[in-house]
Amino acid sequence: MPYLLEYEAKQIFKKEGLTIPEGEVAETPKQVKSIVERIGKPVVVKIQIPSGRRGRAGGVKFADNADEAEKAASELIGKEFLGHKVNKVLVEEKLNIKKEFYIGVVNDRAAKSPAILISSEGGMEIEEITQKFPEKLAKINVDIFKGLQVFQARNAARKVGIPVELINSISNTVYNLYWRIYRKYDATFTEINPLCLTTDGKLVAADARLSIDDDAMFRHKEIMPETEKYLNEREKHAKEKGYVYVELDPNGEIACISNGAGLGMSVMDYVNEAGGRLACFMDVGGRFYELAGDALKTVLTLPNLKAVLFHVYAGLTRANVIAKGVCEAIKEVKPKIPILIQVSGTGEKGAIEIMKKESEEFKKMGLIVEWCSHTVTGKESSTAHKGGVDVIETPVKRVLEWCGIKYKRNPPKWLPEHPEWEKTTREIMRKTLPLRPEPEYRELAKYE
Amino acid sequence: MAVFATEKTIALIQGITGKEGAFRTKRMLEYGTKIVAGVTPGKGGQEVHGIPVYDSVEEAVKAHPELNTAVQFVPARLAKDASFEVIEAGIKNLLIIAEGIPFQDTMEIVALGKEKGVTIVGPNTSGVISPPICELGACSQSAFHGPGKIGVASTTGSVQWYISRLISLGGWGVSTMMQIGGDPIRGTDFPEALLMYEKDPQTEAIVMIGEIGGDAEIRAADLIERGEVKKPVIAYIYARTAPPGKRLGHAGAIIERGGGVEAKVKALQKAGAIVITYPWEIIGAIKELGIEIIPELFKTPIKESKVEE
Repeated sequence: MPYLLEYEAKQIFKKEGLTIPEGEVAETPKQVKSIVERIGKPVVVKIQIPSGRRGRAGGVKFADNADEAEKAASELIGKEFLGHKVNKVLVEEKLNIKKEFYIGVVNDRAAKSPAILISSEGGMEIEEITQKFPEKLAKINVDIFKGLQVFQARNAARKVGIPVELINSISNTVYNLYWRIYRKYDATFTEINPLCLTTDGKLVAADARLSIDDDAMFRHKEIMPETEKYLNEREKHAKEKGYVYVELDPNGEIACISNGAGLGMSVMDYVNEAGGRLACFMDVGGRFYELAGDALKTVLTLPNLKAVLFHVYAGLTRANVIAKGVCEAIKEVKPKIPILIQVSGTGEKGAIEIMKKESEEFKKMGLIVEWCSHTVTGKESSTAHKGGVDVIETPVKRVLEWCGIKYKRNPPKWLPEHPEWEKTTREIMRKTLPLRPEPEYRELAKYE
Repeated sequence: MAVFATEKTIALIQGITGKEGAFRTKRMLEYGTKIVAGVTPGKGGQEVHGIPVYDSVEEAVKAHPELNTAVQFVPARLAKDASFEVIEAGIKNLLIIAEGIPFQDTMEIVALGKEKGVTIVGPNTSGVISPPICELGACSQSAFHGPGKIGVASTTGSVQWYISRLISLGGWGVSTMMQIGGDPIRGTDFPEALLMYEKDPQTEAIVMIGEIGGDAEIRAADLIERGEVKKPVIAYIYARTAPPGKRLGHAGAIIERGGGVEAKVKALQKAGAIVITYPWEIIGAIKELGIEIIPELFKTPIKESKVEE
């Protein structure tokens, strides 16, 4: 989700003919000073971080002259705001504002189409406008094929009480924002907030937000978002290879590599609720199942890692291919920390055969590698765990144990667990599995 | 009856000559899916597992006018072109497997599909299966037994295979599992999926597996509340501990401006749906609905293609 910083977004806006305040980006207080000397007007100094609400966090300061601006910048650069370190500030002329508006283009999931938003109130977050002034906010869905026409923006502007003399200019700005920014740059969302009417009658984008669709970055190779420069080695490597790696806690103790976002996120819930520290969320599913070994090597560079969990319930992925890839990587890397491999779904039978054979090999090598699968009973090899109903939870328990944490369920208050339903699930499995024609299920029945 | 993948399904495979396309075609054929044609531009005249390959969808439809479904194994960057080709050729059901399609492309695909009356499932899905009749895409076949009574709609494969397997082994079986996919824009979203199951006489209850991001689960809850979906709904929504602002694997799984799990759970509970906290609660929740099991399902083995490589 390349979220562009304000100055990066503004560079694009300027290139596309939208009006922005005079200004420049700086990395040191000294640079700030010389920028203000050049502009020769009172300025505003704004921290450049990928987050809204910077003003409220104290990240926006006004200054009347170069010395004041330099001092202001020294209080901002290098400090941390809203969880982000400030590397750059944007120095801009201070606008003499008569009125503030809001305009934006968002992706409306419900309507499966883009939507433009116009409000005669600006300067606060859109959520706040929605709550406080619903009558002053208009949302118009746009047909992706016909695209936005100016009259639609005009109608919306009229509806929210934008003064008659501004309707044309604001509508044209919305039109440009839609065509020249949202559509041209594959934006997931873009907004100008506030869009300012200055005392000399100009419409200026005082702030600019632009977030580009990750999946469309191949069409925008010229854009190198600054936020991407701060990726660490692991994040860079995953990005290069094309699989999902989200670092949740660089000092986390558990790495979970799953074959699908659903299982990965479920495991994240159970680990977090049990008080474990999950280092990363990693999805090698679907397209990338052959990269399982590479993914393992990547997470092993986490400094505080105590256990790795491969949690695979395969559909498009093939459990046997994952098992093979992971086992080869383990032999090559010989990790010192324990690894648990859970392989179910497409290719399960093949995966079980691989794990039976390989896990004995690992034992001889002195490595700790345990495994399970849905139809495994725990007797298949000395390092196998029972699967069945427990195939999702057992591996989570085990990796937490390796980190010295006793697993406990601790779901949120608004979603308490239902032990009676779980009991019924187990009872029914005990009753129905012995009736099955498949020998592996009949065998599993003895252990449920 | 089932939905989307039925005994009436006659399928074309786009990208049949690719590695994944060919492998999945073999698995689908072995499962019993009716596949009569494949398309890969420039590879016309070849055969893949006995299926004739055509250069274009138009040619395939001319040779096989009975075609009614396309399964697309085409890379994300080419998906818009491939999808338009299917829709313009008059095929009325399209399953898009690719992950990573720019979502503005998806908006165009979905808008054109709507205009031409095409049902689209996906993108970013591993498929649809109606056991033991028809499998489309890349499902974990071993997790499904049927013909069953429970309709499953899910944003994900992984944790859903587990849930579907328990439903199958428990004796209720699955009518159809439809993976709607994890993208922000979907051809078939939860509300549409629920309405399909509502109309399907074979389906007696619906299991919905959802995630953070967007509001599809809340719109589904509105349908239940308004009485447009009368069949009982059981939901599992994961990622309740997701940090805001991070995209967790699925392009659509990101909390930005709403889309958290708590609001979704509360909306569903208020509408009268059952929300389970852990996937292994699923059987107890279905049992509580009082739906009869299907004893025959214990006598027949679960169907699965033998092809693993």
